[in-house]
Amino acid sequence: MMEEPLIGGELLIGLGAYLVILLGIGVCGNKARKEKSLSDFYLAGRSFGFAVLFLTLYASQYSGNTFMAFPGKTYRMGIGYIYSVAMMMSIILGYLLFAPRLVPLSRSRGYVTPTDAITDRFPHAGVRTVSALLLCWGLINYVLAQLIAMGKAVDGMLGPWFEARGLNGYLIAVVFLAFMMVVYETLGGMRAVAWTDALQGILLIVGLGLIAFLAVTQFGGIGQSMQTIQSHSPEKFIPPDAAGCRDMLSSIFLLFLGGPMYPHALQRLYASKDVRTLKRSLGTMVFLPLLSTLPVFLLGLVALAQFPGLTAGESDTVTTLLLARMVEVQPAIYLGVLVVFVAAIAAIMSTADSALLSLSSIFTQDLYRPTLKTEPTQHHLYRVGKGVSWVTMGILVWVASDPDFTLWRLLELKFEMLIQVLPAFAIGLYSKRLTSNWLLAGMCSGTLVSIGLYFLAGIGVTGSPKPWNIHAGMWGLLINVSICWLGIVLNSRKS
Amino acid sequence: MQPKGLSGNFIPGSPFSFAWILLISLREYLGLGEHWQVEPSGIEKNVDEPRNHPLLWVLAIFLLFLSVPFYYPEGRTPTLYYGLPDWCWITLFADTAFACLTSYLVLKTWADPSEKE
Repeated sequence: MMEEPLIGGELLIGLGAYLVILLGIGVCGNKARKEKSLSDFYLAGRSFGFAVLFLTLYASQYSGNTFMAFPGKTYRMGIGYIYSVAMMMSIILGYLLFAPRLVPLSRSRGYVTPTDAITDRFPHAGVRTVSALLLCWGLINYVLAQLIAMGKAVDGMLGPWFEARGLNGYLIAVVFLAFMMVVYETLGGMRAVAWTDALQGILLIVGLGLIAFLAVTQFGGIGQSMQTIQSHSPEKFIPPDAAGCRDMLSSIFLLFLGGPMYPHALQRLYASKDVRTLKRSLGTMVFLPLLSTLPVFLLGLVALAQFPGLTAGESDTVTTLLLARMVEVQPAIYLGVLVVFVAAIAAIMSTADSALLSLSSIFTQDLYRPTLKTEPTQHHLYRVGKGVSWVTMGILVWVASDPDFTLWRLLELKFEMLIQVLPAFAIGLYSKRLTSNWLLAGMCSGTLVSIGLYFLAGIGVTGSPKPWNIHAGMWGLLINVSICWLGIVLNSRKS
Repeated sequence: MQPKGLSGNFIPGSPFSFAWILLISLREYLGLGEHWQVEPSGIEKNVDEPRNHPLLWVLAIFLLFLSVPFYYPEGRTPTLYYGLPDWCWITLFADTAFACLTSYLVLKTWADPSEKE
């Protein structure tokens, strides 16, 4: 007879209790709804105060990547991945390139989606469609990455428990948790998502603190882990060479300029009660990588010392492997592991639901609405938005049921696209001489360069999609902003 | 559009004018200066914002560069201090300084017109 796995039923009960709370919040969000409009559904009537705004910004930004992909990347790359702390901080600086102008405008002109702001400045069907597609591309990748992370997290912890019953833990987790997400999201819209984010944000802070503490104390401290790494993987201990440093800087700048283009994060800027609240939230958020990214980096190092020799795919599950090892070594910390596990699921769900909601809003408002001959009612759009959430999630769950990428690969491809929208905000809101045609030419060229570099590397023409260790998206952005500048120069000559 | 004081020197078609256009477009591109009227209307001009403090941006970007060990001599074996190699402590110092600076930019250089009211 098969032995009962060490981790099992109690963890499922904890997860179940957490999901019941989320559903309750969805129902409360539904009851708190003031009207059936896009603004109320997608921006919660622009009513968020400091606590909710801060926690929703935090929870939607720190995702499955924080719990699963970052320790995995640390495992593969070694100590050099400490640059992830600066990478996550730099996103806040990126907002300062345009947010001080965008936020007051979003209020006075009633923007719901990021594309609303672009279309208001550049009233051109091509600009609207291309920017909406680029943003949707980024969001689809992001939701997909979260679904895969969710499946891997549950499978990593409860895989043996499911296996003992002849079930596929990964698939059950992806399908069931995705279903729960769409239910509470379509019930309560942004209100439900942000309120659940607040709960998930608190869990995330507690969970990350706890996991770092457990990882460091259970396995003899970070110093011992470093010595182990130094002896069995010396290449992961030494600092990176010049090419490695360029790669790191390119990653930092990719997030600095691409991270603020997360549509769900931009919508949270719109949803703030006022500018003061937003400033306080961002001013605090910039310190959080020290409490979030740094602990998971240390976790990755401990995992590297504990489990040498994992493959790239396996390395994405080092968090759950480590949690399982902790329970083996010290069964008394089972409760702590349960909290961390629920926090990891919370981190993933909070990001996925935010991105899904944003995706549904962009599709409804920027891709579906312009195709209608008559102006639809708000109620009609509201219903379409909900339908889009269900259909999109259905398709993505089907895709996620057979994952072949590592999470980090998906993350890279996402920013290659999102970053091409930056000039529309960072230049468009500050220069009247940038015209729609030039912006469109810039965005399309930048996107083609990024995809082209990936494609050339994929078919073996070039060795890597990163010429001179700089990401394809950064080269694309360089072309993109150069074309925008050329447009401004030529328009300056005309006038 | 030409800045005050220099408009008298502007000769259309001269090499100077081309350089001038490049300069103007660069300023407009970077969003510096106060004289840009932007579409759509509703933007508060003459309100301080982080983009108006280029030196602080240069410092912030420098700190991002400092978070990467490009300065570390090749072949040198890092020394461990409290479990982490020496260059990691420089990275963490740069990160903390970056967070403080960014927080300052957000809270002190981003003027909120509604606060004045």
